[in-house]
Amino acid sequence: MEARLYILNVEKDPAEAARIAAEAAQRIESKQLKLLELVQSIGEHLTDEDTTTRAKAIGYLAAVLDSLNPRTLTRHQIPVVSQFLCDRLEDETGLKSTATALTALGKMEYFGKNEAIMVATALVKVDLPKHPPSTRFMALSLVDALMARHRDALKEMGDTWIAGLADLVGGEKDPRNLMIVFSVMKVILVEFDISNHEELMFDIIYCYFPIAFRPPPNDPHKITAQDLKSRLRGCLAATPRFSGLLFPRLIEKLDSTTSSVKLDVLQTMSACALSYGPGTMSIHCSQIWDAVKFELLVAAGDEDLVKEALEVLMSVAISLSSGIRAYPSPNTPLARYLKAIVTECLNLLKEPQQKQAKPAGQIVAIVATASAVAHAFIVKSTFPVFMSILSDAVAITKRRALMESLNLMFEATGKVYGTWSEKSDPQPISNLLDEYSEKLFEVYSQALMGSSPEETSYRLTAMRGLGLLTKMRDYLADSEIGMVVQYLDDVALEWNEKEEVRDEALRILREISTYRGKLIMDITFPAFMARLPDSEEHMDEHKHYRATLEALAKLSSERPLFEVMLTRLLNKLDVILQENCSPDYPRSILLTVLYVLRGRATSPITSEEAKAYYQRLIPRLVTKTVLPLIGKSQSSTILADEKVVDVTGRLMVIILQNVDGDLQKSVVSDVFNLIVFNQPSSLLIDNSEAVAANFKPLDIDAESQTSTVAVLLAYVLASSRREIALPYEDLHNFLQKIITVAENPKTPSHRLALLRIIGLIVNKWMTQKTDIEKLEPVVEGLMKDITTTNGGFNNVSGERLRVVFWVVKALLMRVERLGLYYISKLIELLGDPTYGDMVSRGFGVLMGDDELLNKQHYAVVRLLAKQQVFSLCLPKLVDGFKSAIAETKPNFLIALSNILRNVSSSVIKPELPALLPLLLQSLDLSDAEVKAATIETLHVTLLESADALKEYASSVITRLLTASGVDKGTGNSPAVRISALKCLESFPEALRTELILPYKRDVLRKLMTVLDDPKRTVRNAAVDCRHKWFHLGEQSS
Amino acid sequence: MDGKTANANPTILDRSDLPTRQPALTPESRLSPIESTVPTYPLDPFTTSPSPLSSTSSDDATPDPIDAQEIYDLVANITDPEHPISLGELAVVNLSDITVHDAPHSPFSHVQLEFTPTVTHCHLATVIGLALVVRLRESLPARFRVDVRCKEGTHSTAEQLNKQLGDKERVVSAVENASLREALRKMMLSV
Amino acid sequence: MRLNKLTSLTVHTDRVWQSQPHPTLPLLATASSDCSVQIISLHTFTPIHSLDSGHQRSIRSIAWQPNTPHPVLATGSFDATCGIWRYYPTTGDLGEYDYSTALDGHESEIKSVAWSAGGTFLATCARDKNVWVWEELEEDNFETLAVLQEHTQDIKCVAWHAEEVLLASASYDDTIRLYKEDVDDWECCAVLEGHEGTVWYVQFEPREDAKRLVSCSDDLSVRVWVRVEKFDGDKARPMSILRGDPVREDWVLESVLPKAHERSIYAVSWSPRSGRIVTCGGDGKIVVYEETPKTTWKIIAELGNAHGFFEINHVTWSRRFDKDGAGPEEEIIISCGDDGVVNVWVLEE
Repeated sequence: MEARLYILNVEKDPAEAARIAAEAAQRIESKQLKLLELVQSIGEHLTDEDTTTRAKAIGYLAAVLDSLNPRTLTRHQIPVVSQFLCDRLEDETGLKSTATALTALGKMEYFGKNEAIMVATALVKVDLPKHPPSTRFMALSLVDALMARHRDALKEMGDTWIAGLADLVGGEKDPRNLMIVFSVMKVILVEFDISNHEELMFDIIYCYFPIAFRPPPNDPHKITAQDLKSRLRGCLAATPRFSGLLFPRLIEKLDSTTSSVKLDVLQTMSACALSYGPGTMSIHCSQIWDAVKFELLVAAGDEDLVKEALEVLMSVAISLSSGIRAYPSPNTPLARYLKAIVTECLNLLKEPQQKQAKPAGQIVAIVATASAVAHAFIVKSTFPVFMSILSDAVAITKRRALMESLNLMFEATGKVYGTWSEKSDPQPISNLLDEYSEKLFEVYSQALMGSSPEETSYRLTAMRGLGLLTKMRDYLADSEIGMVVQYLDDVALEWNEKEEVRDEALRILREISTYRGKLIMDITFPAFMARLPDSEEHMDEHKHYRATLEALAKLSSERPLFEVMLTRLLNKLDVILQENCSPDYPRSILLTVLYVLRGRATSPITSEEAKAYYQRLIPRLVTKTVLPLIGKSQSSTILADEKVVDVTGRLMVIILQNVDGDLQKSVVSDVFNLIVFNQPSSLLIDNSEAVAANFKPLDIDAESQTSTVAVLLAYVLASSRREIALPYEDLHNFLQKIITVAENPKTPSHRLALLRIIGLIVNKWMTQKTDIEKLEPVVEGLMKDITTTNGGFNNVSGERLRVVFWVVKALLMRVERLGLYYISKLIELLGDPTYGDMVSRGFGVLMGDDELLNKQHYAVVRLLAKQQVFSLCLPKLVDGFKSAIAETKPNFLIALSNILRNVSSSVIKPELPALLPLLLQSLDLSDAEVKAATIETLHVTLLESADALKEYASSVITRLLTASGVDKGTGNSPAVRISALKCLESFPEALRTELILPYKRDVLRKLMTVLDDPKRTVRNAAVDCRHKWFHLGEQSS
Repeated sequence: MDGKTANANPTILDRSDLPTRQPALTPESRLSPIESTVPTYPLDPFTTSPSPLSSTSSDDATPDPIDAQEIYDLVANITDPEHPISLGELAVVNLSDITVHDAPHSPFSHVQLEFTPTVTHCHLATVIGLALVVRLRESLPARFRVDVRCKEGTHSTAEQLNKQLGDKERVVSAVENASLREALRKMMLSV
Repeated sequence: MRLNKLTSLTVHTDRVWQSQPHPTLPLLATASSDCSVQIISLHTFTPIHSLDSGHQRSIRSIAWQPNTPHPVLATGSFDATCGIWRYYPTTGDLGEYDYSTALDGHESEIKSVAWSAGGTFLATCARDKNVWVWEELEEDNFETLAVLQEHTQDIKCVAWHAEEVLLASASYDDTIRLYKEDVDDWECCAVLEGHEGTVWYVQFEPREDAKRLVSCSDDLSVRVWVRVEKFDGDKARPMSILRGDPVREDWVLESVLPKAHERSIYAVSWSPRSGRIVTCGGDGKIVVYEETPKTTWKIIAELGNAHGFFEINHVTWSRRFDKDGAGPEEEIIISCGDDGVVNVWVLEE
């Protein structure tokens, strides 16, 4: 009954069918239904001539069995059902469900050895290959299950099973099935006796090598070629019995031209070498060496191949080393293998500067990493020769090349006997390299310190070698390590050295600091600090203090060393401030601190750390900046120099950005006390009262150095989050105050600071509707005397105009309507003969990214702000340009280029048709900056949307050619010429050849003259550009 | 080993030993990374717009003469037709074997380059020589006359070689030859 | 004297190899690496025709066929073919040149082509070390008369005697060779040795009784060679029938012109009007020599950078046709160079 229901439902309603089966299972478990009855109930369908019905009937049984508790069926039932199903195996159409059923049955507790054998015997009679993959999959799953639970039974079957299995899986192609086949075969190869079927087994498996399988798109089973490769590799490596058949074939396949195959072959070789064991490998090692060495010494393919080839040689060495605990005696396979390698490589290494010496060195080193014994053998058989070459060879190229190979050996030694950073397991024999430690140290020291600075690579090699020797655990004596550090110090501080040499020295010093920090602190720091002058008059003997500072900074990139450096630098600063000196030196010292803090990307500064730095650094600096100004300190006023204050401010920013809100808040009020309210401020370590009384940086008539300190306000406002309320109740009033100061700035940096303060306040703290309403009259006021001007240029108006730009900038970042209103006004001003030029430059400020007024410093920046402004401006500019008088036309182009320079090309792209005519005209201006900017735009356009340029190609190319020529008064600065050439160089690749081929001859002719440009950089650009065009139109095969 | 290659195991110089133009920067004159942590602002963007390129635009007042190093830099990266190695690394071209006579006011200036084949029987010497001539003709101003010769006693057929390389007509027609041209293009991929 | 530039024509986009004035008509033809030939009016110094659909590679050499009803040109190209171009007048129009046939035979770049004085024979030479002599039986039907394989190297130039059937060839093997038709066969009748470098150009003295020829070379020398006349008895000598023993001629070096060039001398031209010789070369110089008295030559004009910094590939005398000219005896010098320019010069006190 259920059987029929199941059969009816299984296709149209699988869920229902499943339920029926489950229910049946239930009833069997609860003894309401006998399994045998159920089997009989499906019996009638098994005679049905409709094959699918028969299959479905068995499917029903399978489903029931699957949902049965494994313990339900009794010892007596199992054999019956097994027998029944085994008989069904002959019914091909039912195979899939029968296999499923058997798999389910196999899980039953009482399914035993006999049943397993019965099923296996029946199964091997099936002609599996002719069935579809999904059916084969079920059958193979059954095999897999049997192998998993009844391996011993199958082993008893002996050849019948193995031979039968071979027929079952032979010629399988479906990747999912192959995954099963490979894992099953692996077990067979490892555990079963295949002595009578070696060849057969091998053929079955090897026929799949190399796997050239590309997974179909959206393959449900997610099987990759790599999965198959590694499983197959597992089979091939499973039994040494294969070695005789496998290695010759693999070696043959090495001649393949496709590197993926080569790679597969080499990886397989390694895998086998590692698993076959020394006995087998001793037979094959020499032929492998001969084959692989060709790859390394002659073919010299890409890096991966080289790497894998070396891997093979090492794997063989590892295999041969296993079990050997003492120095290998000459007749051992290991010794013979290594001997062959050494003889050949040593021969090549005697001429180390030649091409093949490099791989030879790699080979020797890699086999030395295989084991301590291999290492011992290599050292013993090569180093005497190496050392004698080193002592004889005079040619530096020769010494250098050999030392390169020695360095590889040092790395190998590190791997075997451990480094200071990685301990290794205890090794059976001691490191034979020990006996050479003194000699090596001597040779390398000599090479580094005793050769002329021109010998770059020689000394680089020597330094790296010393680094590696130092790194080896318990190798060099501490005294020697100390000397290495001193050598490196000397190199790092020797300004006649090439930069790459000094940097390498610093790199190694940094490395040493990780395991010998003390040495760095005790030797290196004092050495470096000693090179820093204490005052102006010592300058000349230490005139390279900047380079010293740079070295210090590079060395102190991590916190522990940084702390030391900070202390020492601050002390040095105190010393310097005793006397007057130029601002550059103190500035450089502070910059060094800033540089390291900025470079701390690897390990971000924690707020706790930042707080510590704040307390150590900021009040100290501010105090030393301010006190001298009010005569409360004898030391120099140099910290108040605008260039120095600027750096102090930046230090505040980078530190304050990392401290918590509370500290930020208090710093803000402290700064306001100091600069705005003239109240006692805890930014000062002492004399805060006196300062409050006498230090008034915002007073109009304050003298320049004092005013400059206001710069700090800009930096603090930038670094504080918007949530932090400013301690000034009426912001509007405050803004006015600043604007008045800004109308008569003392210095450029003072002006910039004030403008930034204005921008920051407006953007970050004037967000209320009322604030904005209050702003409008302010701006009107500022612009009034400009718009109504008819006289000449007036400085105050100029300063006011600047303020307007910053206010508008701040508003536009938030895309405030008011801002958009004023930008149109500013565009109109471009037509003004007096202020037009200034306005055109202002657009650079308006659209440019400011270092402080930006998102990173908590400014409000609406999405796509620039884009909106751009699309608002563009049409106005185009019209303005058209209607403008010749005299003011350039203003519009300059404004345009200033805008374009600051918006992303994706924004520009759609507007190009409207833009290009203007761009081309900009190229005719004689303003170098505009030209450069325009060319940049054209270049980007060319690279990103060349088609837009298609119809302009001719005029663009002509103009670029003109722009690439030297000619007084054209504004073709070298920079312009270079960018023109670089742009021109991109044409051959950017546009279809047939489009630009017509210009080839002309371009080549014109560039002829550029080849004679007075500037070398331009000439180089011209050469590259001309080279590209020269080969234009030739098929690049 | 492969018998076709003219020299399977040539001597190779380390790149860092090849002559380069030492930037005439003493530690104090060069802009150290520390100094450049801080952007240098234009004094006032409102009167002179900030230049992204100003750093490179040194003035034309001080011209750089064309010297041997410049010639060397033009040819040193040409790759050998049979190794993926540059003529500089193979010491086929050497700075000391380049002489430049740059005289803008005389009728013509002159460059002589003597190259050294890796082996005296190198059958590729002609192609290498041709590549050198073409590269220099293509890269130098018209006022330069280029003489590429094979260094004294470094090649078995140096005389024929030099005569060929000196024959303008031969060079021109060689360059018009498609297959040769392609070979040259490959050698110059990395120049 | 001084060379003054009359005009300068930029008619090519690449190196100009050669320019040849028509033997009678006011026409100049130029051959260039841009694979085209330009026909220029010597009246107005303006281009009239551009022949650019014949050769795939540099056109190295051109020659006008003498004694033809309408102009006929032969072109020798690096594509190893020799092209024959014929002018067809069309009513009311400038008429046009057709690429009427190509002569194949050479295995490599053709370096020079030359018509014999009567226009019946055409000689071509190439890097394949061969000189080919062709005869035009009827229009566009050319027969190969001889393939002369005397030189051991690349052949740079061929030239005919103004009257005798005497052909000269100059070569990369540093020699000049002369050939004569001997019975129905062509034989080498003289070898002129002495140059110590490639001989780039050779020309017989432009007169019917010419006994001299001039050559120029990589060795920076310009040499005049002269035929040693044999006494009459010799003429009566029965012609040898033994192969390889043709009517020998003895040519000897008459004079070496004063040294003026610093780089290879690419071309030399001997004026039929003034008897002067002009040369040009890789040093960008044009030099004019005069013979006074006989066999002693002196430099009467020298001009550097005649094509800017570029090398000068060819120079030739021509009769002056333009309106400012002073009659049939006045002559001009035409030079062409790597700059793709053709310059026209007059020699003035």
